[in-house]
Amino acid sequence: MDTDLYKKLHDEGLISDETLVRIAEKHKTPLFSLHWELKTLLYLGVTLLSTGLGILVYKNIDTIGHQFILLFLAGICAGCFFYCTKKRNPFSRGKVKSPSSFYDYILLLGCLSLLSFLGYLQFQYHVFGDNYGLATFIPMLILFYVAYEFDHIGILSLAITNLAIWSGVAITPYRIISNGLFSSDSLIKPYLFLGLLLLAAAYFSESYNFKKHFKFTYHNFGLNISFLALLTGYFSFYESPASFLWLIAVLILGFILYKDALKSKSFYFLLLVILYVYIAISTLIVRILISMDSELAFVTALLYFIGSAISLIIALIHLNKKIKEI
Amino acid sequence: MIIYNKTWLKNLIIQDQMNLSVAAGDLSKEEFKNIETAYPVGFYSPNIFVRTGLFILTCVIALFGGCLLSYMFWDSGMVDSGGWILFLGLISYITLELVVKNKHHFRSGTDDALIWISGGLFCVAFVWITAQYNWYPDHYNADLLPPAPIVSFALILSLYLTLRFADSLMALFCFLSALILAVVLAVLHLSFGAAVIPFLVMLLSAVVYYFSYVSSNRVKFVYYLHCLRVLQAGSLLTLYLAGNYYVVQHLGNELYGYTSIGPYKVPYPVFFWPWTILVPFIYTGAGLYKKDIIPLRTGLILIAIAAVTFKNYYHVLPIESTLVLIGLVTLGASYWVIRYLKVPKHGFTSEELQQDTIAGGINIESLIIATSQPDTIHGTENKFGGGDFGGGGSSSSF
Repeated sequence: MDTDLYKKLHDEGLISDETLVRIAEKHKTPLFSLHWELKTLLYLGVTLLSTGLGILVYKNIDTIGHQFILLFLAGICAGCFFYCTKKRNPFSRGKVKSPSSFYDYILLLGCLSLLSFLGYLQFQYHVFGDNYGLATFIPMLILFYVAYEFDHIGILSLAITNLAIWSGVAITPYRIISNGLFSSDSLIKPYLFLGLLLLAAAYFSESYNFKKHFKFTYHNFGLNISFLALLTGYFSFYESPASFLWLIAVLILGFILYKDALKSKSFYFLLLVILYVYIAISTLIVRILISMDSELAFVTALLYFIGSAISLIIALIHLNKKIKEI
Repeated sequence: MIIYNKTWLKNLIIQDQMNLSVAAGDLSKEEFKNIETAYPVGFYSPNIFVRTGLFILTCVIALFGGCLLSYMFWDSGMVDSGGWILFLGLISYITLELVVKNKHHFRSGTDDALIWISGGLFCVAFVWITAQYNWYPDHYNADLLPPAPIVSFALILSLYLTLRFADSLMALFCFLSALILAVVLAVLHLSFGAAVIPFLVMLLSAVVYYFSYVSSNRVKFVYYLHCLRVLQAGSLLTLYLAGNYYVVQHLGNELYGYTSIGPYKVPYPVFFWPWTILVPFIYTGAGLYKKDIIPLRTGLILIAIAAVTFKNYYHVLPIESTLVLIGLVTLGASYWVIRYLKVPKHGFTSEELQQDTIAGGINIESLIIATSQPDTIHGTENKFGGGDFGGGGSSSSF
C-alpha cells in the first residue's frame, strides 16, 4: 500500500527519483523498532529493583543479614557508576548525547541505590549526626553534580525534588494534595522561594548557555510551584485587605513569564501562564460579584465566564498562530 | 455519513505518512512542502496544548451557558424536566455541527468536548424522560447491571457519534456498551446466562478484534483507521480480562454473592488459570511475529497484570525479593535484547526510527544496509509479516 502511494506521488512529480529508490529499498526490509518497549522495560526494571532493595534493607535492618544487603547495594551503586564513567561521553556545556538508553537507566539505578545507601547510613550510624538538614543536603548536592556531570534530565528532576525536601516542602502532587493546599500557611514562603529560585535557575541556564536544555525542567517546576504558592497565599490571607497583593504578584509574574514563553516559543508555558492568570482574575471578579450579592451579580458572573472563555479561545488560537510565525 | 471533508481526510493520511518519512530522513523538506500544497488539508487541528486548552474552555462555556439558559427560563417551569436537558443537548449538538462544518475543526478540543457533552446530555435526558417506566424485573440485580433500554440507547447514540465524527474514544465507548448490552440480555433472558458471561464477552471481543483488524486494511474504512486501531487494543484487553481469574472471581462474587454452598468459586480453574497466565505471552508473541504494535504493547501491559493476579493468590516469595528478582530479570533481559539487536536482526531494531540520525550518530541508512546485507532468507520472511503497516505506523500514539 505504502510504496504505491510513493509511486503515485513520484508520477505526479512531487518526489524525486532518488527518494523513491531510497524508500523502495527501505520497504524491502522494513525495520520494526522496539525502542519504546525496551525503554519502558528498562525503566520498570530499575524502579522495581531499587524499590525492592529499599524494602529489603528496611525490613532486615536489625538482622545479621542486613550487612550483606548493604554490601549488595553498595556493589550495585559502584557498578553502575563504574559502568557509566567508562561509557560516558566527555563533559561539555551544551547537550551531551547519551551513549545508549541502557546507560541512562543504569545511571538512574546508581543514583537511586545511592540514595537508599545514604539513607541507611544515616539511619543506622548517624553519619550526618542529628543534623537532618545535612542528611538531605548532601544527597541533593551529589544528585545535582551527577545530573550536570553526566547530563541526565531524569536525575535533575530527582535533584530538584530533593532540593524541595531539603527546603522543607514536598512537591510531589500526591503530597501536596494530601497535605491540603490551603492548610499550611507557614509553608507558603518556602514554596514561593523555591519556585522563584528554580525560575532563576532556568533563566541563568539559558543566559549563561550552561546546559541550556535543562531550562525546561527548571522552568516547569518553578512556574507551577510559584503560581501555586502565590494563589495559596491569596486564599489563606483571604480576609485581610493585603490579600490583593498576592494577586498582583500573580499578574506581575504572569506577565514576565508570558514574555519569556513568547520569546522561547513554548506554547506549553504560554498555556500554563494564561490559565493561572485566568484563575487569578476570575477569583477576583467572583469575589467582587459575591460581595454585591444580587441577582444581577449572578447573571453577570455567568456572562463573565461565557464571555471570558470565548475570548480566551480566540486568544489561544491567535497566539498559536503567532508563535508559529515567529 | 461522516461529517468531515473526505478529500481532506485522505490528504491528511497522505501528509501523516509523509511526515513520518521526513522524520525518518527519507524525504526532503522541499518535497514535503510540494506534497502539502498538492494535497491540502483545511482542517483546524492544533497541537496538544491548544487542544487541551480549548477542551477545558469549551467545557466552561457549556457549563455556564447551560446555567444561564436554565436561569433565564427558570420561572416558566420548563427547566425541571428531561425535555429541558434534551433541549440543551440539542443546542450543543447543533453547535458541534456548526463548528465542524463552518470552522473546520477536527480534533481541536472544541469538537472533542462538544461530542461528549452532547452525548452525555442526550443520555441523561433519555434516563430522565423514561424514569417513569420500571424496567427492573423482580429478580434483577439492579445495583450491578443497568437496564437494557438505557444501554441500547447509549449504544445507538455512540454508534451514531462514532460514525459521524470518527472519534476513537467514542468508538471504544460504543464497543463497551455493546458488551454490557450483551451481558445484560444474557442475564435477563437466558436461564444459564450468568454462567456464560466470561465466554460471551470473550466471543464478542474476539469477533470485534477480527473485524477491526481485517477492516483496518480496507480502503473503505480508511477514515476510521484511528477508531479501528483503538478498537483492536480495546477488544484485546476485554478478551483477556473476561478470562482473568481475579476478574472472574470478583464479578462472580458480585453476581451470585454468598450462596448456600459458601462463597463463589471460579469454575474450571483448569481453563481460567492458563488463560490468565498464557494469553499475555501469546499476544506479545503474536505482536512480534506479525510486527504489529497493538498486540505487542497490549501483551506487555497484560503480562504485568497477569503477574499481579498470580501474586494475589500465590505467595511464593515475599514482596521485596519478588521485586528485586523481577527487576533484575527485566533489566538483564532488556540489556540482552539491546545487545542482540545492536545490528538489526530479523527486521527488528532497538533504535528509534523516526529521527534523521539516531543515537550514536549513525545514519539510519547504514542500519538498513547492515540488515539487507547478510542472509537473504530473512528478507523473504519479512515480506510475509511486515506488510500490514509498512513499518511507518509503528510510533503512532494514542
